[in-house]
Amino acid sequence: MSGYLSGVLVAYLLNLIIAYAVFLPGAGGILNLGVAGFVAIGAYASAWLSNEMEWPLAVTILLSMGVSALIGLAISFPILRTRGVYMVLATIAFGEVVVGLLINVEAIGGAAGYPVFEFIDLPVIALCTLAVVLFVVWLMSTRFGLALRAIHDDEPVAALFGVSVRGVRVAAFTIGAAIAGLGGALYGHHYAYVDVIYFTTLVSIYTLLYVLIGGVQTPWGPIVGAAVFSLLPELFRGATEWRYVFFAAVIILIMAVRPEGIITRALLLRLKRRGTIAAPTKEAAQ
Amino acid sequence: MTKPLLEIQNLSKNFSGLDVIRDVTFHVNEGERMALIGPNGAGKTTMFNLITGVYPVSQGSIRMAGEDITTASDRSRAQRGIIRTFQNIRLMPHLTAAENVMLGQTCHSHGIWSWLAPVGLQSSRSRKEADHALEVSGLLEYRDMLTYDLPYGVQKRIELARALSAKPKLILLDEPAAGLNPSETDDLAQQLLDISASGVTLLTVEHDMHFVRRLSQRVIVLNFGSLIAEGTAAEVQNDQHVLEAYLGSDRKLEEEVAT
Amino acid sequence: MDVLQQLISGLMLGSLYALLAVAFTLVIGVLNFLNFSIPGIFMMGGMISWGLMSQTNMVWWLAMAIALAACVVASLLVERFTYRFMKMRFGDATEHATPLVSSLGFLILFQGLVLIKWGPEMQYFPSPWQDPNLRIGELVIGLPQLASLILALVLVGGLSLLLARTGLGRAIRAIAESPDTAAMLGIRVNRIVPAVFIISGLLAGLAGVLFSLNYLQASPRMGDEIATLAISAMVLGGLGSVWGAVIGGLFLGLVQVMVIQFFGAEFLRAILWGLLLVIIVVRPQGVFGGSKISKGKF
Repeated sequence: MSGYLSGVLVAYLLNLIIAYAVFLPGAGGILNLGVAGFVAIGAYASAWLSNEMEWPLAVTILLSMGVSALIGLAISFPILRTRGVYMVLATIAFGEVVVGLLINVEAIGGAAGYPVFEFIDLPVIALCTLAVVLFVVWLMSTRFGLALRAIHDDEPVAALFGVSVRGVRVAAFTIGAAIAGLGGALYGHHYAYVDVIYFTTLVSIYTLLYVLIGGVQTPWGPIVGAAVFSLLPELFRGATEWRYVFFAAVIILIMAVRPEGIITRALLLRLKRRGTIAAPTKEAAQ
Repeated sequence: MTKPLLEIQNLSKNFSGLDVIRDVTFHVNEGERMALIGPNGAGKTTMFNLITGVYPVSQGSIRMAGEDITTASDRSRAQRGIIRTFQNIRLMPHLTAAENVMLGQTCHSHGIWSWLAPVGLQSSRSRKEADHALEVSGLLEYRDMLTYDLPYGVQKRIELARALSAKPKLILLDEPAAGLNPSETDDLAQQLLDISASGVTLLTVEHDMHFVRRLSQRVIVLNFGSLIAEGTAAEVQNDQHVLEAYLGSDRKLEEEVAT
Repeated sequence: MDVLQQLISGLMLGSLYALLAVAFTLVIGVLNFLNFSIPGIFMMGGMISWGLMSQTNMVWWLAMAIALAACVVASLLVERFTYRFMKMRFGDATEHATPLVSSLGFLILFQGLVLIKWGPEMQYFPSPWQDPNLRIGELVIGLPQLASLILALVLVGGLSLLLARTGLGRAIRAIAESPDTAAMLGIRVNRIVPAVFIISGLLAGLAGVLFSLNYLQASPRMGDEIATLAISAMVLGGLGSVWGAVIGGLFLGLVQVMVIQFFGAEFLRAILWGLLLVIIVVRPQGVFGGSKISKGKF
């Protein structure tokens, strides 16, 4: 595989992992605009554990996911008390506080950035991404996933049928934080360098946007959304500066014509029904 | 079987100074079919919201099967068997009919594995139960359809199937017959009688007095948040206070009957 | 004397935050819509007036007027694609996240277009005055800064008069209560809502022009940092409260100057956003009195 191609692929896979970190709370109606904070925590935690402790990568990555999840769990209680615009602002604030603190910690390079020595390449990243995708697909098919989607649609009614709304939302936010931590750890080890300027609110904004473009109703949405952000602009390589303009136009357009995202449940069910009509033998076999 | 299942004791609710429910006391016996009627704005839906825990009560107490649930959480009330339907259908629009029914089972999901086992698979137990529930209600053809663009009558039936799948002891029905045509209303009444025969207690808010007479053994009447009458449908309809309440709001009971 | 000087620059800085915070708070208060395109419109105010002055030698007041007009057009464009569109499709835009998401799209779009036209560099903004400073004893007061403060107070005063006294103001307040009820009462919502966006775009653009005049610079990213502060100011003042936003803005200008004085600039962001997080969680209605909005889901 050429260097260019694998470079594009790695970027896509990392974006996809982080997309799932936003997708999980998003599926329950929580807009997380602070995901870059969790990515930064994961990146710095894994980098530091690997550089200073010289622990094996599998351990440092798992630990960094744990750290990110713990911070996510702690912050989820105050953040999930808020609603609407306030929640958007609270998550942005969280991301900014993380970056604002990290930049002042000299042990991890402060504003100068922090080199990471252990290297992780495409195959490992691809495996991790696959694991995340399978995990989220499975999670969304469980009663937990059902409850999460029910909360998205009608929170009070979900509660009346026995969904512990806070518990489910906290869990979704925390698992999302762990996935973001994984994305951050892989990011640091692949690019061999972490710097707070990679983890700004703008990154959170882009991530939320392409997750919403893909759609939060099904776990397949992020795959499409991340592709719109990471792969489609590559077709327009002649004019790199048009990349973001193009992306912005896509967002505005999608929100205008398909505000629930490209991949919706109605779409998947339509496709599935067409599939069963085309293959009646399958239906007969059931 | 005259053991009280739901006991409402001196219940009051006010919203920023406005008394919506005033010192209401009544009980529903186990296995009973009871109706709650009253003019618009009498506080019927508020009463349901207090019983299910949507709003905290201001004063008084609610007991279910002898236990005080005045401050219990939504989930614990559902687990004790209090389940409701809604005046305006509130199915989850982005879930299929089968998933909506499966949601009803949630109050009886205990332990991490019941939360982490896939319910989406055709072979899962939850899914089979849901399919069965839909089949019983004649709704199997809709099981894999999103509910938001299904016909109104179908949505109402799915809502009832969802409530039943929670294995309730007491179902609160908020205007179950509203918007249904006469034959649908008839089917519904028969279905509710069957449900009642299987041992479930019913508390129904309804305007259609034919329906109330057919379905209910006992009727209570709310007006401006106060309980003004209690008795059989016939007794209540001839009660002086009730007539005044309805006439006072430019509404005759016979008009209600006509609807 | 030094402290006094700091206080004065803090207040003047704060007046810029106040203008932008009012732009944010107006749209939130009326439509429950956090309009993220506002920092982009702010940036356009500075960059377009710089572009016209430096590349076509246009006289400064004309350049600024054209820039402001462009900002108003941009703001109306946002209205057309976010609020109005949602209103037509779903009947109610305020309960949906879509406008917020689209407005983020517009922010990226505006920044992207300016980047393509003028590149990412920070540009020197020519001052229309020889010596833009007013000296009172040892105190140095920048004329543009003084102008911002006075303009901010006058404009916001005018705005609150407009909201309180005029028919337009009454209509806007009715829409803030409930767009549906307002429509039933015969208020032409689709005519009034653009007015809100015009005012908001004008305030944001003006803040951008004044910012460039104050600091004699303009860049495609000039809106990012200040948006943080404006949003903080709005939260401090309580979402939807115009005077709250002004007080919040002035207060933050002072805090910023003090934090830089005592802790150094590197802690500013963490402290500011930490403060914001605490306020949102503990006292979402703002620090300076009550506010009316927070409709929950959007």
